Amino acid sequence: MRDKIVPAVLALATLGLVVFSLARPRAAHDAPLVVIQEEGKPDAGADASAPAPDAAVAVTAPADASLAEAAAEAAAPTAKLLERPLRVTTLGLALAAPGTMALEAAGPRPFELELAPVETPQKLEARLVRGGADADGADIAIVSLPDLVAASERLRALEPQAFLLVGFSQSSERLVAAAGVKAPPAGEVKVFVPGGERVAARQWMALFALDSAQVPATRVKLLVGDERPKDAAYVAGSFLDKNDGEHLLSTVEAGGLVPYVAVTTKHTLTASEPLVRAFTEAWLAGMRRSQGDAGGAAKRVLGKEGAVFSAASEVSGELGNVVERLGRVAPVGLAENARVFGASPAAASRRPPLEALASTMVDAFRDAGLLTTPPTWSLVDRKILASLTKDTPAAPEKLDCSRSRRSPVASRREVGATLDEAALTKRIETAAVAYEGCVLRVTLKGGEKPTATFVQSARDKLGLAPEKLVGGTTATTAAAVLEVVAP
Amino acid sequence: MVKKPSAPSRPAAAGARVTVAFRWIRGVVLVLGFVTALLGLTATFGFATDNLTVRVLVALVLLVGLPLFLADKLLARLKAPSDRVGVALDVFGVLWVALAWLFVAAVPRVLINEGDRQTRAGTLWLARTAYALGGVTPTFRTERTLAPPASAAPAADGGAPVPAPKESH
Repeated sequence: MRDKIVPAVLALATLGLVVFSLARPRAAHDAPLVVIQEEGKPDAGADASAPAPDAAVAVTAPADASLAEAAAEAAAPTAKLLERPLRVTTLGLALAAPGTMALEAAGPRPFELELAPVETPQKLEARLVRGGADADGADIAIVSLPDLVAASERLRALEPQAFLLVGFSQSSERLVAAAGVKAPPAGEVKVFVPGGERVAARQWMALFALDSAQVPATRVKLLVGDERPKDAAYVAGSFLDKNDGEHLLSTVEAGGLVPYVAVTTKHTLTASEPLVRAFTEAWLAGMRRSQGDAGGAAKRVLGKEGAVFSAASEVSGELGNVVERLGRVAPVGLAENARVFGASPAAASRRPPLEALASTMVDAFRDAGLLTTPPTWSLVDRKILASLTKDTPAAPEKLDCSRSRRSPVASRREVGATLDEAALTKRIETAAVAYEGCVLRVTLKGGEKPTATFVQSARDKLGLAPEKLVGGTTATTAAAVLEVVAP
Repeated sequence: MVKKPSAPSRPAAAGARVTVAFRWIRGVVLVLGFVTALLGLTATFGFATDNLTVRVLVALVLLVGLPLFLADKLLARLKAPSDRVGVALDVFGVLWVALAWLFVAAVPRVLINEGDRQTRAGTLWLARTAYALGGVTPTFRTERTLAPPASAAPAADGGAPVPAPKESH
């Protein structure tokens, strides 16, 4: 009898154990970081002056002073600023590329970096909402400024702020008229916006371009979807879309219209300022290296090398495709950051140019019905950049507007009997960022003298260089004309 | 004249099948209990050393030695049991299943710690097993770094670099 009862009891106990193991709730657990060290050597054919593909592992004989400083800093012992990994989520693979070259693998690190490239703004928002302490969350998100503005209402409680410029969108947005449309129709103007990850940026492009064509955002109806409605007068897509109509504007001419920024919550910026500063320095170094070796950066992203990649990372595609997407992000450095964030002591009393762009974006999105309430906090915070550039003299903007073949590149006539100087000044403030590298020429109805007075006043108010904002000499019948021209 | 072999009676055949079934059940219980108890006991000695071989050997000695000792005492007290091996196996089974319940239900933290240890060592299949028994869903994070062939750069987090995991994920 014993030979039956004991095995039966044991079988029941084992079965209970199996059921218990399978049925109990399972908590998420962060396994320790696994460092896989592989033997290898840099490509023999790599450009000697450019950082090698393994620059994130061993920095040898840096070519410029900044890299030498970075190497010297890396040699000094650095305390960990965060015990867990700093979680960074990016919209798409291209924006994650600098992260694979941001940290020295051989030197001490102030923090460990975990990257999570995702393909939709919704997933990115969800990660920011969860926060970096959650394995499925993020401390920092890298997105386009229009995405930040579009999400500001949903993320109001977190008060997200941009603290670093990581690039400008280049030729990914374009507004084209439908075939046969020569001028904007009276009344409602319908714009078709193909769905996808770039919806917010394309909506902003459409609103900005149509505003230049005397169509205020209140008259624009944005139709997001997969199929183009027949009555859409314009299409806000990309250069890959086939369109027969007239090309109005793209991020080729307006090279600064869609900036990509690093975003975190106001709380993180306040409570973990040293950490955010360390991230900013590391990411800037990664941007410099990935700009010097785009092929290596693309390989690293696809191979999930150079940084820890979250299990939820959406990494797929061909190498050529990733390289192409990297080319659609115009490179920037510390000098551009200092300028758009108004980080120099001279610009401290003025609104950061990037904030002016964000403010115009908020107004346009509200007028178009995409936002109901504006953010009550500043969407741009310059304290990190100000602390990094306090000892660096501000570099003037490099004026090079040769990407556009049109002359003028863009123009806007201020209609009405009298000139609203404040509104024109605000337009200039936005256009100065949107038309990065181009010259702004203003002509007032009264002739050269009032033009010169206004231009000087606008330069002082906005801190623009004399080469960036010039007065026109051609007589005009409009109250004012703002033109974007090559230098 | 050839005598026909007598056919086995029906109740006797059914009894034999039941016996075989119980043997199988006992076998499965012993295997599952042994594996879980071995992992739990190996994990318990993690506080003393990270050396897996040493921990497994100590755990094996305890897992086999203790039930053998108990079975020996039990058999001495029983009056000539017909199935001495069966009694011994039952002692093994009871002890191993009890230990398995202890580690899985009462102190799963021991198994989770073992999962962490095996992750750092790069033995991901073992880490997954430990995490599964410990009742957590792990997120594995790997970093690949490239080092010059002759150099041995220290790992950034102070831990020793390990070879590539034996199991991709």
